Amino acid sequence: MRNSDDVRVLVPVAVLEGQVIPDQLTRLLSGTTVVILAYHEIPEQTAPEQAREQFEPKAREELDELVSVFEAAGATVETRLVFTHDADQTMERIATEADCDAVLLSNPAPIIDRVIVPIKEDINLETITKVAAAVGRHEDIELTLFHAAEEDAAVSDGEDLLSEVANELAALGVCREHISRVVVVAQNPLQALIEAADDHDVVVMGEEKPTLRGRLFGETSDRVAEQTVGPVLVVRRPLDTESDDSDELDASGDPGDNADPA
Amino acid sequence: MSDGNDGGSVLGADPPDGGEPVGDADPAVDVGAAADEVTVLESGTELERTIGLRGGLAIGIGTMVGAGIFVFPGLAAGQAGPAAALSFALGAVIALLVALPTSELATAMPKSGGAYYFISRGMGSAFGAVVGIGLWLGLVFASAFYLVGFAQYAIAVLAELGAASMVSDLPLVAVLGVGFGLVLTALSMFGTENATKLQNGIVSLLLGILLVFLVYGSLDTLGLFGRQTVPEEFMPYGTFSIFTTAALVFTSYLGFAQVATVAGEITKPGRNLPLAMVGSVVVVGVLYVVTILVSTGAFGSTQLTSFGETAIVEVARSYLGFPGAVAILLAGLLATVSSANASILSSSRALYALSRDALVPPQLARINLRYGTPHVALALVGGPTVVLVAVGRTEVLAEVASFLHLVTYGLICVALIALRRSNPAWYDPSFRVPGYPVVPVLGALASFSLVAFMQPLSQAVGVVVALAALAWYFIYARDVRLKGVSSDA
Repeated sequence: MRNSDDVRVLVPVAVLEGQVIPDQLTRLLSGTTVVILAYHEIPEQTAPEQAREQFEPKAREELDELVSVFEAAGATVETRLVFTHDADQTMERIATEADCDAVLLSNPAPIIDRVIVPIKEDINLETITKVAAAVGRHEDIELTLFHAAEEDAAVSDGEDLLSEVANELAALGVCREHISRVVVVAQNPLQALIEAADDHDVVVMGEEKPTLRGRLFGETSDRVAEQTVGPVLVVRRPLDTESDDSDELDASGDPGDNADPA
Repeated sequence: MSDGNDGGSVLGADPPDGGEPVGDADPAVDVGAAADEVTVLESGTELERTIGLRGGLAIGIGTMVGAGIFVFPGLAAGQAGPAAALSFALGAVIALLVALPTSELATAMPKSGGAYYFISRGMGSAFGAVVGIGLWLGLVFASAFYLVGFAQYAIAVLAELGAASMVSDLPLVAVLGVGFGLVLTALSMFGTENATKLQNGIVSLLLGILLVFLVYGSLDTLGLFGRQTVPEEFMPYGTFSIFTTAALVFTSYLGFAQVATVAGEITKPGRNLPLAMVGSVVVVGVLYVVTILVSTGAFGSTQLTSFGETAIVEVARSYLGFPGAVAILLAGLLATVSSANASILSSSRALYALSRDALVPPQLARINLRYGTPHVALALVGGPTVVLVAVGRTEVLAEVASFLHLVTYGLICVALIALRRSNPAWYDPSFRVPGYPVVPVLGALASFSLVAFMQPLSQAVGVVVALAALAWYFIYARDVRLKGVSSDA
């Protein structure tokens, strides 16, 4: 069984398309177990095994290089190499199988000093705190806990919530001086987050329950990654115990809901 | 992201754990360990399975539904009269007798290449070569046949628009068929759009149109709306004509086995492969039989024959007026396109499977670095296809395609029996044919005997192709050892 303090982060890499993981991100994840998912997405005209025969050696080579970079930074590394028609489906499957707490949506990151962590009540707080602590334990990282209240009356509740999380982080070894707290009042929490994220380098946020809006416009985390142009660590929601509508009519992933991490 | 796919284990296939190569990957067949959503190879590399049941059904139905409704009603009624419905039903029964064994083999060997793979593993590389090359060319003939059908529908659309007279002095069928064949080939070589979703959408739309038309037509034929059906003898051309017609229209059932060519990409293969194959045969079989009854109810078979390949348009017009004709024309275009497209893609998979076993040069399986598509294989399908479109006659194209497929189907049944008898340790299908050995024996007999009812020209072309494939094998590939097969195979 895995150690409950261990934080596992899935790092998907489009391995043959020259996608690189910025050094700063490698450093940020150095205290975690990194599951590198090297994937190669191929068109439907091509059998995955056919692509595998041609590209596997090259992909292995690139993957080994990534592994050595992460290991040099001090992370524990596991790897998966997958040829797929549908990268989203693959990421979802591997994240579940490898029991990952968070998924990295990579974006360029020249420097990483400031990390923003949006906090809501109804989201997977425990794991978010654990993941935030894993990246916040670095000496030079500033953590901003962020809460968007819907109205003035809710501000004090938000402050309580944030101080609770801050205490928890401190207990997990994050230096208190590196934690700041921001509560804003906003009609549109997502917009407020994107604005607040502007002077931060990385967002650590919880994955939301799939909604109709999410299906139409893309998941919140993907939109944040798109608009802030920075890396986003998406903390996965706990698996619904009985979400077994996983039946047949799922020919392929949902339409167009992915901000391509490349 | 899709969260609907966290596969409950079905029929005992376990998901792989933690990136380890699955230890019991079978050494005898180089399949890798097949789980519900992924195949894990010995190197630990994973191949994602991304086609669900709906995708599988769309491949099967999408490949088949083109011909039986949109090309054959006129031709078949001309040969057998209203009893052509029996020919279609007979075709469906034969297709089912083959679909069940194919399902068993596909769940035991869920790999690219389908029939080629089963037969080469069950009966050795010589049979494999004949079937693989036959499958490739059979699909080339089938694609050409669908493209000719497409061209006829496009011309009917032009006629409907009143534009046909302007271009009537051109050999329109050849021009349109070749042109569109080139477009489809180019799209499959250079297009990276989501073709499966498009195919699913096309098939859904098609089934919707057909359902409305056939339900209304059936009710009308039964006299609910006061229509007088054309009185006609059920079997004006005798019993024998039912069998020759079944041989002709069997082309309408070439498609269920195409599901097996993507067996390596189907999720929950133990469940979805048999369901997709049997389900698509049942769906199209019912549609075909009803179509013939409705068509011969609207017109006498002589008149139906005179309408030629687009007879169904006149049938729709007689039931539902101009909008009906337009809807069916649209459906005809969609159906022939989806059939041709699916066949071209399957055919390139067959070539890949052959080259993987070194039965054809490895260059055929090269993947284009820029587009990620097997461009050489696709060109080797598209090229011959348009040549056939330019020279071919619909009936001959259809029958040669049927001939090559039927030989393959017969051999699939034989391969199943061979594998069950030798029962190698690796052979562990998660679906087993009910009624063994009766079903595969009947399937083999029926497949081979339908060949006997074909026109001599089609038989000759088919035999030449098969002999050429055998000659190729002895010249090029006699020393080939198949991966993962013991030497006595």
